[in-house]
Amino acid sequence: MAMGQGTSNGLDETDTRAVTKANFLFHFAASNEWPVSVKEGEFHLTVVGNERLHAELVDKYAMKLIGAQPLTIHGYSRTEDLPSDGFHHLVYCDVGGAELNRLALALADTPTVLVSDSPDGLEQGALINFVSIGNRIRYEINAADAAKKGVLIGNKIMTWAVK
Amino acid sequence: MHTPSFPRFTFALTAVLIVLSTWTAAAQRSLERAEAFVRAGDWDAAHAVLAPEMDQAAYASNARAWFVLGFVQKEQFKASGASGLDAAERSRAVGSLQRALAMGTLSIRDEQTARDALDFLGRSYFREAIERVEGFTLGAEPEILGLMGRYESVLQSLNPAYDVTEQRADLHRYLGQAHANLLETERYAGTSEEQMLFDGAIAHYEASLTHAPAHYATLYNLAITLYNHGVRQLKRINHETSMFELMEIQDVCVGLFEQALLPMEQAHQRRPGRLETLKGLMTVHYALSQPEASDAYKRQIEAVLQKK
Repeated sequence: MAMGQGTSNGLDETDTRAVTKANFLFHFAASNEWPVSVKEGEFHLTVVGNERLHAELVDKYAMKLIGAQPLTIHGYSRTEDLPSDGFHHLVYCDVGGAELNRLALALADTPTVLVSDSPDGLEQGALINFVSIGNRIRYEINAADAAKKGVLIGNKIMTWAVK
Repeated sequence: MHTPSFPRFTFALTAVLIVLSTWTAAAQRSLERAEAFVRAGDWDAAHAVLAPEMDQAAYASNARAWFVLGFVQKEQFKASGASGLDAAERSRAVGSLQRALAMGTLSIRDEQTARDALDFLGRSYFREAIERVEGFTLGAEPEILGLMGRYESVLQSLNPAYDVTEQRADLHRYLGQAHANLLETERYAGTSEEQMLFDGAIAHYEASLTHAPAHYATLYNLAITLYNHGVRQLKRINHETSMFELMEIQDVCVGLFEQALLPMEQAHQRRPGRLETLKGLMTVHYALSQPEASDAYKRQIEAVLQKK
């Protein structure tokens, strides 16, 4: 035949996990009940160590309303880059282990919900941790520790949690 | 009084022979006139002389007449610029030439010319099928398959042992690509046609694999089409997507990613050093939340790149 024998269509290089996680994070922001003290001004969602997730959030979710609060997305390469003076409602940290633990301790006294993607995420102090179940992205929650911070995990979020 | 039977039979036979020879002479004259027009390149005049005579008994078994008529019809087809399944001159030319050859009484030279003419007509079907694949539009598929069917039919009339397996595999692969290319344009995003295009692409790749099961490009393209369709669904997620919808979309996507894995692995087995399949496997495993497997292919990519 005259036509070529080669391949034609390229692989879509979209970061599929970033797309899914971004939507989960948006739901975590929108469906939880935050303390009154942080329900004014902007809603701060911060990503540490995952540029593509940050880009996805900026592209699709920046300035969307969380209640009455416009969503602001922040991105940092490392946990030590995270400014200590500002409040972050929701922080996603891509690295686990000791670095995650240090970040959890630094945020312990704030109503910040720390989200991780690490096999021992909850043990290291995250309140929500992404896990893989049946090749799908799901999440586990430490609802008790969230309540201690004054954050009430919403029913919709609880319903889909794996533990 | 009775007439002796032998003279009566002789009379009848003579009458039949006279009629037959008259027909044959007339037929011969029409054929000769048509050939004169052919030599002058006046195809329409040649056709006008010969075509009405072909219903006559004398012509029904005249291979040379069918050959000349077929040749004239082929030239008329060329002059008409017609194309597609509706090009009547071409269909008639094929029929006339096949009939001439089937009689088995053509001279060697005429037979070769008839075969060359049929080969030309067959390839014209093929060329048009390929043109339609290259400029593929939704709904063009039946015409393409029809043209290819006629191409194969002509080839097999010239050589009954001709094996069309490879060409069928190629055609289905090209149709798979044509469907997939339209999907990539996003012109049909979110429409019912999008699902038709996806189903069409997958069906053609699978049909191609039944003819050529280990064809690298078909396996790779099938995997890519499945994977990309999953990503396409995922990219529609936005701030209006509910948690329930997110879970449903994930189920659909993961199903497609899982389906993509097998042909991608088979393509990789065919050509283990190809970066595109290594990258494909790394990406599919990543999408399936299998970081260890994804990292293993990432390391293989790095190793291949280091060798370059």
